[in-house]
Amino acid sequence: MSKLHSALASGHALMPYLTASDPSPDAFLDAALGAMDGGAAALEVGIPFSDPVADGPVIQQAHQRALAAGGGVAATLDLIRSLRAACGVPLVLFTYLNPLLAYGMESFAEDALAAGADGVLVLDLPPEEEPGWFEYLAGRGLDPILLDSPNTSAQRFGRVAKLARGFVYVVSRAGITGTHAGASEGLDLRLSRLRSLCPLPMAVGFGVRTHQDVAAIWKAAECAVVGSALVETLAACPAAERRETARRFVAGLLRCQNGSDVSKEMTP
Amino acid sequence: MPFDLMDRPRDFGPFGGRFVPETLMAPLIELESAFEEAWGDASFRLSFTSLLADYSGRPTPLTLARRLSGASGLAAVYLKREDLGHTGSHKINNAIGQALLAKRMGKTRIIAETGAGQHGVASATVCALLGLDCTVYMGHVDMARQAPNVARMRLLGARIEPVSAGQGTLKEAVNEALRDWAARPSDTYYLLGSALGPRPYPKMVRTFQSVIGEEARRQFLAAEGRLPEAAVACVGGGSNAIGLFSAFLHDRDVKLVGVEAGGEGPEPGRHAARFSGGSPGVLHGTFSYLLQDAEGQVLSTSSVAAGLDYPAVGPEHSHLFRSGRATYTSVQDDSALAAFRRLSALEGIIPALESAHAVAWVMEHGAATFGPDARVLVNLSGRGDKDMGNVGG
Repeated sequence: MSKLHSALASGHALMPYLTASDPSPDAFLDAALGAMDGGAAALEVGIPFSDPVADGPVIQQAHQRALAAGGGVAATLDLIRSLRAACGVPLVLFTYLNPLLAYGMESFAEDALAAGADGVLVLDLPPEEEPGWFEYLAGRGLDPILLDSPNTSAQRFGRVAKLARGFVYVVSRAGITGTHAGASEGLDLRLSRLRSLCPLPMAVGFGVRTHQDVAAIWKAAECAVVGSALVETLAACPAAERRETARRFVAGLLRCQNGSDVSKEMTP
Repeated sequence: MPFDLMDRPRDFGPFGGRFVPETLMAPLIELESAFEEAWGDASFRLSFTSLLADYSGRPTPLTLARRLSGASGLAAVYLKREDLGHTGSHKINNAIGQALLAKRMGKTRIIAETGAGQHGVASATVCALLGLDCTVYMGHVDMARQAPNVARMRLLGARIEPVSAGQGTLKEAVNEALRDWAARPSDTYYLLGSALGPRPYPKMVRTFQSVIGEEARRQFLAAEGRLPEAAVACVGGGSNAIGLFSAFLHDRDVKLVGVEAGGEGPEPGRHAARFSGGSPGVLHGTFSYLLQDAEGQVLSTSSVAAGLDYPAVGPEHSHLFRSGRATYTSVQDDSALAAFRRLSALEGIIPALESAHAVAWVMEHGAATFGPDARVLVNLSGRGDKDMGNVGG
């Protein structure tokens, strides 16, 4: 069982997403450390890309700010190194394919591992197209993270289940990041179907914004992923308060485990 | 192990593929099988060819441009007149084919991206004809420079979604169309306008555009009793070029020349010449030549022709480039503008600024490349009315 797998296996987990270097390397580090202070079970770190087609407006803007601050693969790996030195929380790299191709798929795997990353999710690299790289990653101890979306067939999920390590990223609804739809119907049913094919923890993301979303996800899955709502909140807060804002935001979402309403606290 | 994408065979040599987020995999798989099934059905093909003939006015003529031939120092320059098809460009061929397919698949809502507006107009036109809801994504910069086409689309009943992200041109319009499709894959059909994007688009768009080359080859043989020395077309995404080239791929003596947008000059960000300034990469779901920096970030582009102003190229062109079957070159904005005026004055034909790139290359380099006795075929992919506001008189 990998470190990521065991970090999420016990459930009631929250995995925040942040874009590396947004809006600067130091500001990103502040927010990431704040999210960990708040109790994040793992952290997703997005590598900035010029054309993030799976992302909604909030994360698109984060990518633009990060690129303007010199973000990219090399800068992201530097930040992973800094985070790893500061804490033991598992770190998952979230990326589009083209920056990895430019860096070199093999060098990326080596350098990400050396920097201290625990998993890699490539948004636009489906199992049908991947050049044997996922197995290579798994063999080196870097978890390849794969996705299931509402329209993924059982046959295709079989392939996902075979290659995936760490956890399965379950896209709660069709669309791009940041779309608020509330908890999607039939998630319980869908997850029990996935569990019959794959023993990994399930992390549900896309459209998670409120403590109600998180609570609903925890009824069916080990982990909720929150991205746009956090990135938006941080974008609106003063630089000096980023760490505390991120901490409060994550802690607020986690506390809904006990049924307390934290929506007021979360509103910037 | 380097895990180089160049090492693995795909649709066109190593190029092509389906590099998309998971949410788009199922719709693309569904689209591919629907297309294969439809194209194998004689009744579908009959509906397609009937609309091409009765609605769009095919076959389009092949015109011997006598004064242009003389001015170019060539024995003959023939123009394949896609400007004379309904809506004024070759884009109507693909729009008819895909809209018929959408209808057959039971989709009720069409989305499209457009750069110059010609694909948007063609899509809006066919949606009006077939009673389909139509939304067109268009960069705000392109909306300003191709205003006549924006007005046409609105008149035809399409909704225009302005895209202000990034450079506000074709690349961003494709990004938004992909995001829209990912959100509503069940009722929505993405009518992609060029021979790019994930499988099956490059092959499907080529199939619907191959009528250009089939007609032109037949017409050229009838006119000259032989094949041309060269077939020349402008290349943005590359649909008009692949439509023309596809009929000549096995005619080894016919040279194929693709003309890209040289923009303002060869510096990164100032042009859209993918083969001289780019390298293989993945954008919009396909592995192909791409203008990118050392970190794999996509570069901005520049061209006076909105339809060529795009950082990637259709994957089959990358294969033709690597295999040497076709050669790719570019002309800059000023040359294209000069050819726009020259063709208008010499032949009474106002070309689209995109097509003017192909004309410009033939005028400037045709005789030197192929000799004064050469007979050259040029795809005049569209008419230039849309460009009058920019170019003036």
